[in-house]
Amino acid sequence: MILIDKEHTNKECSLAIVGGGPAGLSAAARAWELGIKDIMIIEREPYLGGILPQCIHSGFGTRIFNEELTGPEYAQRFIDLVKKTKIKIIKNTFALSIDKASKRKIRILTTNKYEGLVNINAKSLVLATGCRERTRGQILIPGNRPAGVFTAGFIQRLVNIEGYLPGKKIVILGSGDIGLIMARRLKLEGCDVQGVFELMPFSTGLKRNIVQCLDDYDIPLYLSHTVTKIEGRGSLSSVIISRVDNKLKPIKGTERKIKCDTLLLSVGLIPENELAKTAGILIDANTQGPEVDENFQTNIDGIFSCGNSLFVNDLVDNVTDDAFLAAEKAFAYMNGKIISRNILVRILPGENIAQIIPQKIYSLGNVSLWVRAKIPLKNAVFEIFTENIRDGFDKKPDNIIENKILFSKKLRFVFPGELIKINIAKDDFKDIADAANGFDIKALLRIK
Amino acid sequence: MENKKLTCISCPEGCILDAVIDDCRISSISGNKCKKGLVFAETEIFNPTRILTTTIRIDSEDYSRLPVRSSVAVPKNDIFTIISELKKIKVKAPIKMGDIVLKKSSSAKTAIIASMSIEK
Repeated sequence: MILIDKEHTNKECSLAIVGGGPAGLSAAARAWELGIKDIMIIEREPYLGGILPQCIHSGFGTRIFNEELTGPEYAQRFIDLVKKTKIKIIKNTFALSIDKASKRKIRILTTNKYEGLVNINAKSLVLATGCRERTRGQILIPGNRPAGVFTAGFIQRLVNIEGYLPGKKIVILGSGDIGLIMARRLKLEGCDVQGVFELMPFSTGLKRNIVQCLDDYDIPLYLSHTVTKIEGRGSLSSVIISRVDNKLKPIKGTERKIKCDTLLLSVGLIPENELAKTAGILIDANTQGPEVDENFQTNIDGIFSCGNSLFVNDLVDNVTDDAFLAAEKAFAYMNGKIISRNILVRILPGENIAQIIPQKIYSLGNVSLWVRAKIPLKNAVFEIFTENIRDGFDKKPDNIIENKILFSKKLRFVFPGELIKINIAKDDFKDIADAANGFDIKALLRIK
Repeated sequence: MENKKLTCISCPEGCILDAVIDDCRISSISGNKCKKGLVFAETEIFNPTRILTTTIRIDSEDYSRLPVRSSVAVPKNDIFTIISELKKIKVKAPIKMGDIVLKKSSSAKTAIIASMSIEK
């Protein structure tokens, strides 16, 4: 559905940024620093900061600011920075769709309650739309549909921003960082937190959060467990917990009932790209974010992506770094400095790799890859290889005669909850690109 | 002699530390990738501390809660006492990040400060 109509009010800027969270604010601050004068941030909420104002715990900024800040403090530093500039902040405004008005003009259709529909025309666009939570519907828990089943981020908003407690007796499903943080938060507010249940045989949260959120408060963590039934009429009264086998299937006979009034689901985040899709931006099935090159540019010229809308990050410091890069590249694009649009190599995730970003590389240079592992590994090695195919055959597993290793790096520990950054020097990357010779390259993680 | 395994929480890296305690003193620490690990092990073994964060009530047009934090890490055992102190107070906008909302006292050995600015 394209609602763009030439009759709407038009506003012009050189760089538009959709999203006023950490990625959008960082991109805006960097773009201003570079000398882009006409910047607009489009934000749907009445306040800036994105998810950070509700992440009241500390642990943000240890790398960027070299001190341990809370979420609101991290956001406030960038808000203060941006407010000192002439960057235009358009709050309470929702971006509905994007299209290319001409080769060098990107049109964003927005709406707000004061002006109605407004077209914002920009030379370049940075998408920093963040991510959203997976819900009960996406993990298919059987049972009734009582009140009291919430996602973690929603409870975080209720407690930390609106000032409400969702209930008193809490069961948490999922041991990602938000689940762990909320276990401690609810405990501090006087709730009875029964335990954190994790489907996988390992936690996907940061180790420090297991220590300071669970161990500190004697909250038990049950690995290889899941909720197999939700019970209650009107309001939640209990959940059934089962152990799962190594294929993640619930084991019959291990069911037990836990009385609770709140089930907190911390079962994953998905990059938010409904807006990106309106522009025809290609989405990577693994990251669920746009497919990008080394400049974080999407398949549409002049549209860049960063932060959690590109891929779900575990550290805001990394979001800021990547947003800085996106802003720098948007600046280069506006100056006609990004022209190469021929894919040099395409990188695919192989064994034990869940995600790899960027998905394609256009030009020779130093390359940084973000890699997310599927499982924890000790004494691992990261490798990039090409598959040599028998002459005259299709690329099918049977026809692969040799895997040629082009790059390898040892890694002491690998955890799915912690993104790995792999830096490849220009010369090494040139060797990889030469050896790949137009074929896709693949990356894998294995035990050494 | 006693061996203790700790997970360093000084940064998101989460180094796993092996500390050897000899006669109430740490005789060796290994597994740390930086100096922060040494300081962490020392305090974690003898006087564990944490940064405390919570929210308090605020009189404001735009917000109903103000996020706050302890300016420095507080002893782990003091956390619930400080939380109950904080439940009693209410502040009024405008407030600036860093403003003190609860002064040092016998129950709270560190100041509690605002984590964000609220204009009105």
